[in-house]
Formats: sequence, C-alpha cells, structure tokens
Amino acid sequence: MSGRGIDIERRDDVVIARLEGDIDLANTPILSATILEAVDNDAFGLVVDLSDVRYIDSVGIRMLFTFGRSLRASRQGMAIAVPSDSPVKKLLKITHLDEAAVFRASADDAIVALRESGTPQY
Amino acid sequence: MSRPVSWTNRLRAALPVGRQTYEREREARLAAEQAGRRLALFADATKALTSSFDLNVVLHDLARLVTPAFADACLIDLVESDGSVRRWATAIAPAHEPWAAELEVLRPASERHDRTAQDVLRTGHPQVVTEGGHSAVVVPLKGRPGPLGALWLVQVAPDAGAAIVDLAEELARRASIAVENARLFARQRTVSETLQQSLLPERLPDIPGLTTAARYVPGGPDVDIGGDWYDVMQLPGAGIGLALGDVVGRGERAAALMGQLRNAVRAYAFEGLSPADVMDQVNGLLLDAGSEHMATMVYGVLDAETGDFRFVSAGHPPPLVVSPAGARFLDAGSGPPVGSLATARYTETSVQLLPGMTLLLYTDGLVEDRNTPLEEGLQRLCAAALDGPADLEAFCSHVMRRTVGATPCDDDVALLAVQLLALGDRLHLRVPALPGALAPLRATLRRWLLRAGASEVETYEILTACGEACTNAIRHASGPLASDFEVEAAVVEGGVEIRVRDQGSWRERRSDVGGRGLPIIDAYVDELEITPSPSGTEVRMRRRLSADGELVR
Repeated sequence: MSGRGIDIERRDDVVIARLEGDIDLANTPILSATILEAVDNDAFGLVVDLSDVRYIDSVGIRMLFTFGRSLRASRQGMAIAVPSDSPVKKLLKITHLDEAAVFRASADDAIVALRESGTPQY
Repeated sequence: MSRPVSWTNRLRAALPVGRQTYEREREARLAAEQAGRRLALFADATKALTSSFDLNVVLHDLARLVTPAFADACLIDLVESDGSVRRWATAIAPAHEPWAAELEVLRPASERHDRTAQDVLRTGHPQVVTEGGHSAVVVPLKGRPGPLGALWLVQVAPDAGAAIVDLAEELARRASIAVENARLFARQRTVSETLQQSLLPERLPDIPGLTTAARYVPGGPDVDIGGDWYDVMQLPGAGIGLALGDVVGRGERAAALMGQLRNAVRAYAFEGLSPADVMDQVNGLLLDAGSEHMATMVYGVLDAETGDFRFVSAGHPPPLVVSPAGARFLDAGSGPPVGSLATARYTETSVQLLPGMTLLLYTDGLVEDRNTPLEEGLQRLCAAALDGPADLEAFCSHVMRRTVGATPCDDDVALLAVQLLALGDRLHLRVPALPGALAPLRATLRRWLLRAGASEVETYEILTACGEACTNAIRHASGPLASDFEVEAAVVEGGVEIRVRDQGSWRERRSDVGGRGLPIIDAYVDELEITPSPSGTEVRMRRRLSADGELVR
C-alpha cells in the first residue's frame, strides 16, 4: 500500500477500496476523488474496506454517505468492511452510517453481501 | 590658488639669453612632472575603484585622491533608478570648506546644480560653470545603457583650464567602469540571493507538538551561492520528513541542482517512500541525469507520536542527538554521497527521540573549515550543544556562535534543530488552522493522553471528540489566511479536560456543530460545553478516565 493511505483493487465487477491509517479533513478530498474515479459505470458496486483504518472523523463519514447516495443514483451498490474489533466501528453506529450501508466484518463477506443485495435496497 | 610666478619673472628678466631654451626645458620638466603625477593618480584611482564593489567606499576614495592635489573640491553624483540625481561622494580641501558650502552650483536640488547636471547628462559633454570666482568642471559618467552620473572638479579660480577637463574626463571614465561593475555585482548578488532564498523554505511549517529552528549562512565573500539546503515536511499522517544536504560545489549550477534535489526528496517523501527508498531514488535520479554533481544528505522521517526517527545518511556528517544526559552522534545508516555510485544501497537506522532531546542536522561548514579539522569541529559542536539554552531558537544561535562564530565562513552552513514537545500535566498548543495540522495534533494529544493515564480505547475516543472540535475550528477559521486556534488539555479530578478555542464566530459555526460532529463529541465525552463569544468560540470537553488508568509521572 502506498503512503497515500489507499489501495484500489478491481475484483471482477466490484471495486474494492482499501483505506489505511487516519481519515480526516486533510486526506478525505484525495481519497474521495480516487475512489469515485475508480468506480466506473460498468462496476456492479463498491466495497470500502476500513479494516486498517485507525481513525475516521465526521468528514470521512460524510464521504461514505455521499458514496452511498451517488452509487444508489447510478443503480450501483456499496458495502463496508469493518471488523468487529475495529476502533472506528462504534463511530459508524453513532453516525447511523450502518443504516445507510451494508456492513460486514471482512472485504470478502462484504462482496458477497453486495451481490446478494442485488439492486441496492438502502 | 596662488601661483609661484614672481620668481620666474625675475628669472626671465635676469636671463634674457637662452630664455627660450630655459623656458622650454622648464615647461617640459613641469609637463613631465604633471604627467607623472597624473599617471600616479590614475593608477591610484584604478586601485581605489577596483578595491571593492561598495560604491560608497570607492567613490569617496576617488574623491579624496583628487582633493586637494588636483582640485580644491571633487564631487560625484549618480543617477538613481528613478532618474533623480543623488550626491554620492564629496571631498573638499579643508582650507576651502567654508566657501564650498555657499556655492549654489554645488548644492544638489538647487536649480543651478540640477540644471547643470541634467545638461551634462543629456548632452554627454563636459561643461565648465563659474560662480563667484570659482569654476567647476562637470563631466559625465557614461555607461553602456546611458548616463550614470557626473563628476565635478572645482577650482578656486575663475576659469578652469583644458588640462583639468582632460583630467576629469579620464577620472570619470574610470569611475564609470567601477559604477557599472558595482551595479552589475549588486544585480548578480540579488539574483543569487533570490535564487538561494527561493530554494530554501520561506518558513518552517508549524507542526503541533514539534519545535523546529533552522539557520542558513552563505559562505565566502563572492557572489557564488552554495548548494546547502534543509527542509521540513509535514507528510500525510503523523510523519515528519526532515531533510538536509549539501551539493558538492558552488555557483548557480550547484544551487539549481540543490533545488531539484529538494523537490525530488519532497515528491518521493510525499509518495510515502521509506527514507532508504527515497535515497535510492534520488541517487538514481542524479546518476540518470548525468549530472557531474553529487551531494551529501540526510533524510529521515520522525514519527510525531512515538518519537521514532528513521533516517538514512548519504556520506553526510552524522546527526547529533542532545539530551540532558549527554550528546551523541548517530553514526550508523551511512552510504556514499548521492550521485556518486550506481550500486549504492542505503540502509535505515532508527533512533528514538524523546521529549526534551534535540535532534541536530547540519552541513559540514559547521564543523569543518580551513583551520579546523573535522574531529575538532565535531567536538566543538558537541560542547556547544551541551551547554546550549533550552529555547530552540536561542539554542541554534548559541551553536552558531560557538562553532563558526563571527568569522566569515569559507563554506555555507546549514543547521536544522528539532525537538518533540516535552509534556507536562497541562498541554497548550497553538495550532495553524490547516487540515494538515490535524494528524500531528492527534499524535501529540495521543502522547499526552497515554501519559495522563488514559487507556487505548479512552485515548481513541477522546481524540475523536477533540478531532471534531478542531475540524470545526479549521473549517471556520476567519479570513482567507489561515489563523491559529488553541488546544488546551489538563488533568483534572478523575479525568481530563480539553478546551478548543477558535476565532470563528458562533453564527457561522452553529449549523456545522449541529451536523455530524456534535453527536460524535457528545457520544465520547462526559461533559460538553460550547461557549460562543464575539471573539471566538470555546468548546470545553471533560472525560472521566477509568480507575485503572494512572498518571504516568
């Protein structure tokens, strides 16, 4: 993973964005642009993997909400991978992000959940 | 000036026979003497005019050479960049000072003076002006692009002869060359200094929890600039890149290469490359470019949270770590200078910088010169660093004074000193309202919270709450220029209290605090109080710490 804190992988028609380290006001714009650029119209959906994220603030949370909204508009789906022991998991609940996206404990599980959900329901 | 003519007349009368022969001989002898004196004057004038590039000095020297031997007063005016004429040098024979002050024609800004000077400058021809029994020869100083100024030779005689006009013109010719050279030199020096300054950081970045200070002193008396540089980079996350190096050689090419190196290091560093990889890349870059230059440098990344400093040295003098217990040079992690060896591989060394320690990077000009062997210079630096003051700026001044001192250096000297903020029961940080300040701010707060006895989970949650308050402060920093905000943390009964004070107005903040930030703060602290005031807003947060957390003393 590069020092920019993001790694993009395309697995078949699903885009996996692995984020790393801290997500705050300083790097959210570049992360957001990088992810949106990677998700083209042919992609089935996006998995945001927060397994290696140590810190996220409200600006980062807002970015995830925005992804969900814009993907829904283009009939694509989004799922989020966050392990149960992740320090940021509680924050996602506080901000009700869990009501706006599918959560799973790993990226693999998130891909399965994304496909099962078919057309996004949220 | 009185002329010794009376005895000559007597001689003429006494010796009618052979008078013409005698007179011819005498005139020839006087002319030869006069020519000899003039030649000596021109030689002295050239010497004076080329002794320095400081026009004030050389023009005064010239005026004093001429007075009183060749003229009763000598004045030099130069045309300034705005077209006005300014008096640069005045020499008046002591006996003639009283009347010289009275002459209108010699007084700059007087109508007669200015008209005469402008006439001479415009026409490029000498003028002879008289006023009250004095005469002044005014000749132009001519430069390649246009008139440079005017030289005035004043005689206490109603009419100056052709001989003094010749003399004035010859002196003016020499002075013109000196003026042009001095101005060229000044321009070159300005270009050099501008180039140098533009290649060094304008100011070191404000990084919360980190104190930095730097010195740069150009070496040598000439216009050549050196290739020393330093840089402090706030890398993505809590890493702080520290670079300092020295391009071998001097002059514009060395400086330009220094600029390229500095940018290359920045680019690789911001890509997240490790110090060893940065050095490998920079080495390859230099060798590929076929540059004849090489450079010694140190590059390392300091983790603002742990104090871990991982660094690589490319043939550079060893960094120095100073602690209250002593000073030691970090000798490991060395490879050859970059640009010298294609097969060079750089390996990293790591050292832990604790609060209260000072890390010192420097170029060899600080420890080595013609009279000081390296070993002695290193010892001198060590001794200077050990009894330096606590304040980092004062510390740098102290080290500079005790090493290179007041003597002009042969070589450039660059010095960069870095300290992690020492932590106490109270923490007070002034933070620039920039997004990049958030990560090092968290790193410092994290260090403080762990020290204050917070558990990992508590630390994370307090950081998150505090992060929201700080993000708000940054987003609503008043004005287009980033202002600062303050973060204060204190150990209180049963927990910690953190205050974030900004200068933003309550009105513009209200909508945002009520967004996603406020619920986050609310969830992670036990007490939250937001106090708006006309001058800014204070967010006070208090969080209890679990009983098992203990203050680390």
